[in-house]
Amino acid sequence: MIVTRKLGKVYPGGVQALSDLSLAIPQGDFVFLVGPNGAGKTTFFKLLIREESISSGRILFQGRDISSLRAGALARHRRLVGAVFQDVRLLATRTVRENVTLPLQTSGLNQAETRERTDSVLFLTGLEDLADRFPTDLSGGQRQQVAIARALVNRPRVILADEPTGNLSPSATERIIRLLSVINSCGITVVIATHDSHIVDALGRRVLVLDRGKLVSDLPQSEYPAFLRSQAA
Amino acid sequence: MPFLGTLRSASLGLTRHRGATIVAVATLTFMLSALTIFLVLASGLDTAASGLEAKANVIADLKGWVGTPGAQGLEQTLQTKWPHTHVSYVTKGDALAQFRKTFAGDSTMLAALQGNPLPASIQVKTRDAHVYSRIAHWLAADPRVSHVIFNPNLTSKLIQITDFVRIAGLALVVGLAFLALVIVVNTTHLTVEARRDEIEVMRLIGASHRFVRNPLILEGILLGLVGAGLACVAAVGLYFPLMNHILVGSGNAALALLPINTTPSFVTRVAATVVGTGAFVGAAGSYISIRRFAGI
Repeated sequence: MIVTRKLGKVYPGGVQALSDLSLAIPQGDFVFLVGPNGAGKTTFFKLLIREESISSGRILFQGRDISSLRAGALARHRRLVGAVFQDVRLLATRTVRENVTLPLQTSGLNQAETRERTDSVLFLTGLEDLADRFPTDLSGGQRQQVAIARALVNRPRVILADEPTGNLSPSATERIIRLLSVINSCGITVVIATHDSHIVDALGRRVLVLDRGKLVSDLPQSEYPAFLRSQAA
Repeated sequence: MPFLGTLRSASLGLTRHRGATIVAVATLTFMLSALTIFLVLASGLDTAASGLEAKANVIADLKGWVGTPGAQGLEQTLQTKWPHTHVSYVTKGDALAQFRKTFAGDSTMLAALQGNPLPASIQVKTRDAHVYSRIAHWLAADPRVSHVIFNPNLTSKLIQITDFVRIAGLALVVGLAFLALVIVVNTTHLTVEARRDEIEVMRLIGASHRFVRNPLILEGILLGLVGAGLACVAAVGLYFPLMNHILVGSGNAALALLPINTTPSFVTRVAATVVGTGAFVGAAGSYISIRRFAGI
């Protein structure tokens, strides 16, 4: 599904954000990407949707190298990846429904199908009653739900969620994680970047540990607590 | 995205970003109003230049033995060599009648006239004032012509003045249209800047360049059309009457050289030009802004 080979990213100014990152995430997997600030988690997501260019190495998405996609193919690739951004990035001048509908409009779906899919995603994410509100009227957790709904509506192969529970209350965090688990149970790959070890512990899924741009561990969840203890020591 | 979807998206963009929309419409209205004024002035300048050009001509007196067939032959040859010339033949009789008419109140002049000493002549006018000199030389060399009346200095001055007036008028209009484009690019830059996040999000969720660009270009066209409409309303309601009053009604002879045309066909032509320019400048301004500031 997602395979990286010796992936590297150097930002202008010479900052090495990722180096020699090689990993594989199969279809349907649920993966946590953990690591301290500056570990390269967000950069990894940015490379996966080609928000940033790849400096070295390759990313294969469903067997296709995405490092050299042209504009049209890149747009199609992005429709297969549902991104939930760290800063949410909802359009403030559009309602919840309009924000969620946006990816469908880019796909050129007809109005009836667009409405049907939007309604079902709003229902799944518990946003039906908020459909006509603007993002500024919503709480942080509700905005995250809208961002997930927008990521989900185009039926992507993978959801990339960058710190989806940052600054959320425990109940909102639980709601978001439950939602992502439900999405994963439908066969959609979910990759979550997080600082929050409580979520990682609670879910018991695969954990990729990044530090200073390198993959330092690829662990099943059962080994993650021991890894944390060894790091603390 | 189909046209209706693009139109809906553009309308949404305009209504949801009211501040930027109002600034853009105000700027466009101001620039297009200025363009309207310049178009009217340029038209007045052109009319004035045509009036000056009409004063230029070449008159060739014909020898006494040249009759009507000879004069007509000369006329045909002239029109073959210079197709845009207008040649009028004045017979000896016509010349005398004209003389009597001109000096109708001067009995001394009329009494001094014995018989008909005036020669038959041809008067040549042409749309292209630059060829007068060549026509005069050619006529002077023709055996049927006794004398050529042509003031090269006056004609040269007229040509210089009319050329300057036309080029200045055109330069003003083109310059103003360019200035409007620059200002619109910078104004729409504000719009694009206000939408930078929106554009970025659209790209990241898989929107094609066209999907992002088309509504913004259509917004530019709509802004241009609204600005042009307001400029036209202002022109018809304010500028035309005002300029007519200042330039024609003032009684100032120098200003009256600039006749203000207010015929329906002229007003329609100006309106069409302003609307077309508004739509073009709006579309081009948006396109350039998106390319320059959003990289798509």
